[in-house]
Amino acid sequence: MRRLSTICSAATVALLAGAAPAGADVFGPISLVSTNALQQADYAHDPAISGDGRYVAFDGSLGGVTGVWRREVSSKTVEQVAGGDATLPSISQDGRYVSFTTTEQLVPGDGNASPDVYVRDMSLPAFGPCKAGEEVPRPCPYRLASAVNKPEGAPSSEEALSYQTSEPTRYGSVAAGRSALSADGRYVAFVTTAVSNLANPNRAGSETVETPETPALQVAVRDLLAGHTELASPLYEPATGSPAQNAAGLDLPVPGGAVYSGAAAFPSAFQGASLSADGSTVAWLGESISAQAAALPSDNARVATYTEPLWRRVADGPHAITRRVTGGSDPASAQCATSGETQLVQPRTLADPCGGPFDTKPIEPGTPPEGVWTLGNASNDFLPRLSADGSKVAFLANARLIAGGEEFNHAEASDDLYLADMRAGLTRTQALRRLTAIASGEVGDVARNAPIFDLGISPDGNQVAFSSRRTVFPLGSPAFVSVPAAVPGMRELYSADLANDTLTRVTRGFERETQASEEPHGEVPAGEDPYSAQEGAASVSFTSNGATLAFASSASNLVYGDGNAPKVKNGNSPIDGSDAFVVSREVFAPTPTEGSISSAPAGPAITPLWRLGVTAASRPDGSVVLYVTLPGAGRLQAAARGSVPLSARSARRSKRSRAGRRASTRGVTPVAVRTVATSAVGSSAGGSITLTLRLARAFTSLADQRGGLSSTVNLTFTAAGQATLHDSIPVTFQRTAHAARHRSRTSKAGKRRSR
Amino acid sequence: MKSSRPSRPPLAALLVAITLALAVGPLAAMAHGEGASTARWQLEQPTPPERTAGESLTPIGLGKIGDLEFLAPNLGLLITSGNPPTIPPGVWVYNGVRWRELANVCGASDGRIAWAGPAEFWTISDGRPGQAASETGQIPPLEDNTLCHFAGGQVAGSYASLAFQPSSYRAMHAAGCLSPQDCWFGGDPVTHVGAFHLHWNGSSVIAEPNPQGRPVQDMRAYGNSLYESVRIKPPEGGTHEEEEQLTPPETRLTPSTMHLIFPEGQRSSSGSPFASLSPGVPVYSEEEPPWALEAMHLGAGEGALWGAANPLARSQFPPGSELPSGEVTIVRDAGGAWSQVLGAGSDPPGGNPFTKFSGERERENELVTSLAAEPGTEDAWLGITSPANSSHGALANATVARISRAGVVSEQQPLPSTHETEAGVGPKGAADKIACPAPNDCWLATTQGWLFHLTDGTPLPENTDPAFAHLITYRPPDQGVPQIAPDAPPPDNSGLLGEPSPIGGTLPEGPARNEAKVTVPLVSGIHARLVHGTTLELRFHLAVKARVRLIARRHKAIVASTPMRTLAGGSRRLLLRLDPRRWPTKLDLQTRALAALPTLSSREPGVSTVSTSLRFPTWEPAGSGPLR
Repeated sequence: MRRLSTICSAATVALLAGAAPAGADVFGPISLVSTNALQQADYAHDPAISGDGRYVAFDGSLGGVTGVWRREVSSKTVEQVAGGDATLPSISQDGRYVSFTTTEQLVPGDGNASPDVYVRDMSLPAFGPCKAGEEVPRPCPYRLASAVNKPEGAPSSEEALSYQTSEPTRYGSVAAGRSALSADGRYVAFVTTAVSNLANPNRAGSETVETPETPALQVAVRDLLAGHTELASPLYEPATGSPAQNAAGLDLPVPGGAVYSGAAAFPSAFQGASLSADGSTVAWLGESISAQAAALPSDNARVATYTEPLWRRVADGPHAITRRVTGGSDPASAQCATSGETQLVQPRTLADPCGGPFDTKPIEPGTPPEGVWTLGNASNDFLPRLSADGSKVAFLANARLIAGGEEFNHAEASDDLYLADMRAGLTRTQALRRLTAIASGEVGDVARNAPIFDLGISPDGNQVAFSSRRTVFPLGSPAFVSVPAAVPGMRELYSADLANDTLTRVTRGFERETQASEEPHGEVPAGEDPYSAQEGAASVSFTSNGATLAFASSASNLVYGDGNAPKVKNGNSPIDGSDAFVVSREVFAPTPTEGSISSAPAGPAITPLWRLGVTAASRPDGSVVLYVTLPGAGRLQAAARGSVPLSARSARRSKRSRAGRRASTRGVTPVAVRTVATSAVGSSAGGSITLTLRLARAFTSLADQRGGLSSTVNLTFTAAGQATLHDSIPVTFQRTAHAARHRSRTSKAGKRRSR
Repeated sequence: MKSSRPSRPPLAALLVAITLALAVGPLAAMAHGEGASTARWQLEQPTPPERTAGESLTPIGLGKIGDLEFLAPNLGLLITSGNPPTIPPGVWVYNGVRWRELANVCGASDGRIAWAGPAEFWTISDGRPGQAASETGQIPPLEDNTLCHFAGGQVAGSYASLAFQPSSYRAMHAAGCLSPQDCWFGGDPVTHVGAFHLHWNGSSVIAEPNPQGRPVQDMRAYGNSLYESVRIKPPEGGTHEEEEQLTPPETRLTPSTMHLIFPEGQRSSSGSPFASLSPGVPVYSEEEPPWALEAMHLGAGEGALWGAANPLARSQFPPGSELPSGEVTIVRDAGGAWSQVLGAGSDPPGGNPFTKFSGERERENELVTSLAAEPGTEDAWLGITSPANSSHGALANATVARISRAGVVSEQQPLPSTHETEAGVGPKGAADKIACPAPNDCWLATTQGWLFHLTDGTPLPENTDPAFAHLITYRPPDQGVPQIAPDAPPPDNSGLLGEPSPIGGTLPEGPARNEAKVTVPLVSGIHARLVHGTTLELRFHLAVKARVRLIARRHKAIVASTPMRTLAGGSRRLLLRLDPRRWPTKLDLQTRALAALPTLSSREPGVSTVSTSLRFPTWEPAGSGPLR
């Protein structure tokens, strides 16, 4: 029997091996997409992949022409979305709509020289900027997103926001790459980087161009279908706990600006705000936190330059509140509200009901606290990124995580990746999950504490990808399952699969799986780092199902045939050899595998043991049930023998025996061993049978006495050609009082019926 | 050319005016007209080598193309530094139909090619890494300081030198052959010696410096001699003669920008293979000292040798020094008579078509990057760029123009052409090397490794010479440099290059044995036997002095061992007493050579590969004889 189970186990393992590892963290070969049939792009940055994976939009130069481009992945068809300095594309689910930022004036309503946010409808041909009063009117493929609200009844043409800035080509409105456009292309999130007329406190509502009065660095969402632009980062009114509004019921902007001002000048890689794919939620790295969300009376967040990621569900309407994603305090939690605490417990502890997950004390004593993000003007991705429904936020932070204990020295020079769950009912500490952790405080230990450069999150929130030069990831959850590079080189792309709890390196050279990203570089002395922090992978985005990633990299060895890397880089030149790539997660479908179990191995037949097995149970009616396991066909006989009191005649007859004489001399009731019950049964096969023994009539009353009648049942099993088997088991014949009454009633009734 | 592109090139405008007004050279004009009417430049870029059949690849730049040389219209070569990892450094061949990778060895940072015969050529190539750094930690130079000799479809010889030695090869910038037995390679000067030259005399490569110690920049075979151009260094304080190691008849004021190299067997009156070309080529203006011009780019055709020199850039003058006035100068030699085509005193009417902006616009001045005489005509093609254009790198445009013997510049055009630009072809880098194998048949390589072809569309017969039919992947060990045996086996790339499986087919022929070099094994002639039953005697032959140790193992455990001993080369033996109770199962002879292993030509008889693996004799308890 054991051998058979072993064989079955082996067969099962064989079958499972063919099916595994579904969902494993394995990525297929990398494909270059910033190329057409004629030539590779001169350079390509900021790719964004459509939800269906059909298109990738990127900005760069192709054939010497700069702009934003859209490549159909399955073919080598590349179309220009917009030329000039257009940059930072986001793309809709089906790839039809592409948002971008440019200083080009593409619609008649854009009369400023500032960067503005547009959405291109790729189903319409483009012949340069759309002009008013064309002889042959053509549908304009461009929609202006950074546009003012037109009053009811006004012409439907879009009018750009007006700005007040001394550097008009650098400040205006900007949209984030990859995450500014909703999946249906209807909503666009952007940030004003100059004083504008986006949400003037006294909005005129007329066709005249208003004087810009809205402070810079406000988040806005444009509904292209309704032609409506909504301020998404309203001023917080502590008294009501809701957005502050003017008399006309319009949200008021944050006076000092709502958005982190670190990289406001156009063009910069990380600008704008993130919009969830369903268009419901917007997130940004905020400043002036206490002007946008609840804060404790003595809260570091009350410092204007303190930064934290902020989150607002704009789909909930104008009264939707702005929530703090994470940070040093959590005044919005229920336990904080009931505690009455006004100041955080120092030193920081997780037991503090109003405490957030981070310790946001000042880096240098005497300086103001800088918040969750303190890298200043570093070019890392400070934008929080949203899952499709906006419920999960991935972000970078370099403040000390309280749950992580003491950080390494110089930890502020690096950052780590986190994921926050924004569903209601969770404290900010409960909602947080750490995805990376630096492993060294040594300056220059790039392998262990290089910063996370940028990130992307899959629509379902189960994958978070990021790029970094770091090669050591000490967390066990997610567990780093790739072969680490021997030495840190260029930035590599990693993907944390939260469903499988693994962390995998995505980028690799085409020559072998363990090869690191590489690009041409001059000869350097042994031990010197040939790469800088600005080289390698960046700008990752996911398809709707999370199976395919698009990213950019300046590495030249990811794909055979990548040939645009300059041998000598000019730090100011965009010609850095960067390209757009896609890579798909390999899902191993269960492979049909023929499964068979071998026949029983040759050898002696397995014969059951020739023996009896028996158990017994007393029944209330005074009988005993025997459960007997028979080795085969045969006849089973059972006889119960017990000590029974003798009657007078029997006693006299028995006095002649030794026992009778001894009993008689002691004055006790003589007893004798008698067969009190018998039964027999024939069986045509082995197995378990049931046999009932009932006391012979003469001894029936003994079952009613206290303790019943103890007996020993002797079993005899006989079968033709086999040895006779014997066994015995002690039993007690005992009838309970209830059974006795029942028997008495049935007995009387029987007598009455017989009468 | 008086203004920079993309505005209308003034050079072309000027030339049109000149042509119309003066009707210079009816023959040349007719030739221009014919050329312009039929041939045009077009991008003709090969795709990277396929790794798998049918692979769809987009053309990419081949990397820095150091040289572009044609033996015939359907047989041309280029040498590249590669565009790794897709394009390795190496040599490519044009067979009249397409460019193809010929060798993935012998590439160079800025290599040169010299045709020596129909199936034989030389390259100036980069050296192999592996030599030790200097005592001060300086990394051994590798760029353009070795030679490869290609013959019969293989690299027949590789020549390099030990670094940091007085005799070390310098970087070389020019190569030329007068015959398969007479090739020259010129480079940078060697202090107190002269300009570094290597000479192949048909049997060996020897250093033969030119006492005139100016760096050699270009070299062309013309007539029965080699012409080399040299760079004249601006004075830096000392006497110019000392700085440049000049010897009579050359002086600072009477320099020779070109030298002659006589054919093998001929010498100058001083017994030197070199001779300085008489001063007067080129002609300088009064304000123009000789060092105002860079070294000449040379181009040789059937009946003329051309030279073009650019004014020296300001950056090459010592700070604070007065910048001399130089202009683009082009000279031409036909039948031994030199003429100045462009430059001082010879500019066509309207002046030199090459601009001479100063100040901030100096970077817009257009310069000649290379020059190629067009066979069958009296014209030459120029590759043209400006420092401002070149600074755009991959986004720079290339420019070509034709120049006549009268200095008339025509057909100046940007590449990619307007037609190609409209089709979506982007910039492919500035003009670099140019070569013209036939009338209306020229090639231009850009700084990014893209190739443009001037063609009238006439198909060429495909060259099927077997010497250029297969990929060359082996570069023999360098002569002159000790070989370092690799620690690891070479990567297994079998099947990656699409070669057919030898199973069931015919094995490809290997390199001809008469050219290959093999390294003599350190240990050979191994014999083992047991003496006195339990003592192992191992006899062997050491090629050079070595440290040797014999270890006997029983499975993994060491059961007996000799001490590490230093033995001189020759026949040697080691004795090792063994324990019958712990009888070994394996012998391990550990060796480390203490001198470079000699190499022998496989052509020489008697050289055979010997195995150094050991077979252990079976122990017989009694009466054991010689066991092997």
